[in-house]
Amino acid sequence: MTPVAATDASLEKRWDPATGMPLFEEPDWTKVAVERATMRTLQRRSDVPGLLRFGSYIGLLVIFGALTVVSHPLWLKVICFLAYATVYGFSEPILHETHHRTPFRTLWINEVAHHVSGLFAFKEPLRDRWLHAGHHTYTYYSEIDPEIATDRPPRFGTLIFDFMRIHNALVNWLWPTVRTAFAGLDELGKRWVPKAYHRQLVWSARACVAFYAGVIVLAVAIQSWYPILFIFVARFVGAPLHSWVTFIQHAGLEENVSDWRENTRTVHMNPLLRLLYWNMNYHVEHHMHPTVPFHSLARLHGEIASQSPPAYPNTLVAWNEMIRALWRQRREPSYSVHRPLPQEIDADPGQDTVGP
Amino acid sequence: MTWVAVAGAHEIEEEDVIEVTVGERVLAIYRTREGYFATDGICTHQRAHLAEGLVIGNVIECPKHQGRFDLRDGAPKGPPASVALCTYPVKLSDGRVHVEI
Repeated sequence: MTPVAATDASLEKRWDPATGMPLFEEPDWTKVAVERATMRTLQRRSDVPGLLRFGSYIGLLVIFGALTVVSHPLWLKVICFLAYATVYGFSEPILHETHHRTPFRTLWINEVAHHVSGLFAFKEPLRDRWLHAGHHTYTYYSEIDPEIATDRPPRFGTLIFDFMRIHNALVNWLWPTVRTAFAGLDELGKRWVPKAYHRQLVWSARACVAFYAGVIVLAVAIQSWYPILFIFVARFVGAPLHSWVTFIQHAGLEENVSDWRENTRTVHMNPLLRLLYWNMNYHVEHHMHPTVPFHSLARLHGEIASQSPPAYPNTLVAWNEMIRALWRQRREPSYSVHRPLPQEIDADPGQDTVGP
Repeated sequence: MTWVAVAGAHEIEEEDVIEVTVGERVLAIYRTREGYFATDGICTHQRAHLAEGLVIGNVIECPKHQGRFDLRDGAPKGPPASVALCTYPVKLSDGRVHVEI
């Protein structure tokens, strides 16, 4: 099957008005085959790794939150709050993993973590799950992927602003939640979510709004800024470290190609980042085989590494490549970094690393 | 409607799924603790072979977006699955799985 020709489709033809589903042909994604028995082992579900990981997240929030409250003097309080906020910012990978329902075998545990992390991330979780399914179907197809982070040419002002999630969290995530709660789904929601689920989404959005209103009421009732700091301010103050690891997932790589090895980065990270990021540094592996839970992605990486471009040794190397590519796209919007596939490397051994 | 032998009963491990093709029809054949079941082999949401997915109890999880279906009656059990799978009667005879199509 021919990959989708996204740029050839006219706007009128993109969406089925009856279902809101995209009418683009699905790309025929290239997958590196994994032996069936191995894949069955990798796909295996358990509650234990997810509970340990989610428990670590909540535990760190409780510890750093408590230290923020009791610490003195102010500089120490600020440091504890920054630690709390930085951990808090990693609600996004939890939301992401639970979109896929992979981290837990027990569904209700997954859905509890899904909704809690959605509240912390300022994302209504059900709408975001549908949009994320679209991202997996049309990863980095410029006309349709609902999660493309950068325009061509890129707007660096917005990118810098969004390093603290100010634009995304307020405009793209929180505002649609409020709108959905009181006035129904926004256009993006209508495009991706079938009508049968709209009512469920409206009630979920109302629950989110009720939670945020409750936080404000609590702050007023106990005459304290802490609820506001821990739920709202932390979302922005603590975002940079998460932005540092997540911005490099796709940006600067090729668009409109049906091979995740060409449009997605796998980046080696240290154990602390992998803990907070739920191993999403193995991003090619996640896209290629999304049924594999976070705790098996490192093993999956070992299975497909020989058939993939070299993983980036650290985040600095990935950022260097991405920023150079985005900078070049200011004047040359069609420019992308090309990731060499193993057969290309075999043909030209000097091509083991490619940058802009 | 005819019964068609599609696989040996022991070709499918418990809590697993295989894909078979009958004519032009792609089927997913499941084995769970409750027995054997058969559904259409392609997800109703977007193009994906369910046999590459995961069987969890009586649920088949699509490999592409992790939409879920009850494999006994095809009912969607989790977005983005929203349209039921077609299911088929199954019986065991002479050590083989038969599907009525």
